[in-house]
Amino acid sequence: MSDDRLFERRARAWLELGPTEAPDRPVQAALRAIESTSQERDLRILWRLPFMMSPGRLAAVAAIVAIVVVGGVFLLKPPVAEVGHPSSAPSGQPSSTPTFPPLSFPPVATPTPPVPGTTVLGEGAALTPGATYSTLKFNPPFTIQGIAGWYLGLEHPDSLWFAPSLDSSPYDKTPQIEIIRPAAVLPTWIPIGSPQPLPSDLIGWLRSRSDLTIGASSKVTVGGIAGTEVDGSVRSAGNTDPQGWMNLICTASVPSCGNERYAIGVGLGRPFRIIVLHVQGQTVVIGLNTGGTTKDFDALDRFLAGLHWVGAP
Amino acid sequence: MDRVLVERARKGDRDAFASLVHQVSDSLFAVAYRILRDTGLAEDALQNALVSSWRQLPHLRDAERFEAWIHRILIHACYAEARRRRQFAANVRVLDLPGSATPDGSRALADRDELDRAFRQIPLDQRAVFVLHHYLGLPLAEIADLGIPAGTARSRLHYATRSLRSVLATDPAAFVEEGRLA
Repeated sequence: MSDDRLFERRARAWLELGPTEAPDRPVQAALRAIESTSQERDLRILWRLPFMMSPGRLAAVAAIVAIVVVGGVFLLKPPVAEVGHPSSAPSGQPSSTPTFPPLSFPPVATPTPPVPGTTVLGEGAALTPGATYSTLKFNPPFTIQGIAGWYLGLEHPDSLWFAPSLDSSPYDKTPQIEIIRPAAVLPTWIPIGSPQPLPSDLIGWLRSRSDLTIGASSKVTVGGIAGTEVDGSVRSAGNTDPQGWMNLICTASVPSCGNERYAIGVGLGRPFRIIVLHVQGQTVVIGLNTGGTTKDFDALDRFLAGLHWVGAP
Repeated sequence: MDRVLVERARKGDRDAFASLVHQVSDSLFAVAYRILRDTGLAEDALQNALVSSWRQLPHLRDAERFEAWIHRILIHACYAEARRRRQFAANVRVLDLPGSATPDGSRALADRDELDRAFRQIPLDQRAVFVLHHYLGLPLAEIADLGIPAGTARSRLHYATRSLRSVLATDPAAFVEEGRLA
């Protein structure tokens, strides 16, 4: 057997190792998501219409095109100022608005926000200042005021993250905010160890680590719920990966704690703040990783000032 | 693939789309896992690909091409996941790979980890072509149907193969004949 054939057989054998069935979680999550997701309209259909329509429909399309063309000419026509009188309309604007027959499109389904008067916090969405968003999946639910220049990355039932860019990762030296419902802690990151049960005193566990420097605890109220916050930094790089990162506090979604997007982690040379709260009987941890300067804590302060746990006073 | 289901889903029938999802999700997840080498990332790529495909389904012109079309969306979802979570180069870990029990578990695990490590060092676009070609068995011409020009696919496959061959050269025990790890 030639080397090429042998390599192909071996490559296929190796690739066959691994899962062959999709887990239920992402499939069910996707099916739930499409319940509130509308399809994009296929605008290319418009170009095909003349070739597939009856004469009557063709006439209707021609009428619509004529209306659009006439309307467009009307809209683009510069206003004519009356002699002897200043124009009441701003330059370049028509003095009255033409009316058109309404075009009917299928209704666009949008997710119903769990909290009335808010907008659903969509994954990958840029936050708009002045808008109030509500979480869709995270439990316990909360609302948040939009902050300019920040995005929601992914939202899961037990974790979500915000960052100034969707392409940023915890490894990038930009501020990152993670909110998780913790299930375990991770003593060693390199090599990755076995997650341990969540200690009742999470701050005490952080303080007990020799590779972290943890400041004094202080009381804080976040979204109407009292909690405890600490500032800290990574003291030594022994447990960090080559990019200076290590996961510390993990969610139930990723039992191995091997994915930094589902965990509270910290980075070398990047001061961090960790807040522990108990919301509706559940422990919640909020982590801010700065880009390297404590000035980034201002972003967390702005963020937390607009956060409110649903049902909290 | 049931063309009628695809047409119904294209017109907004969510039940029809759910049926399609159940038909293709195993294959999509298997491909995503093999490209990304991480269960969590593959799950997210699958989820995002399914939602994207629902949104974009009205743009699908030929229902017969549904499977190729949704695999193309999956590949892009894999790229997006990798961009979002740049942990590949930095975090090389032994992964849980179900269904791979061997008589000598520890040796097999070490070999497998070696291959995983080598594979993760290959750029994602090369991994995608390697998986499409060697796992799904797609010829290069069909990979071109997924939006990767045939010439580009050929060069990516070449570089991926060369990288993995270098692992074979340094650790011949990593692969064995007859489809089993040592």
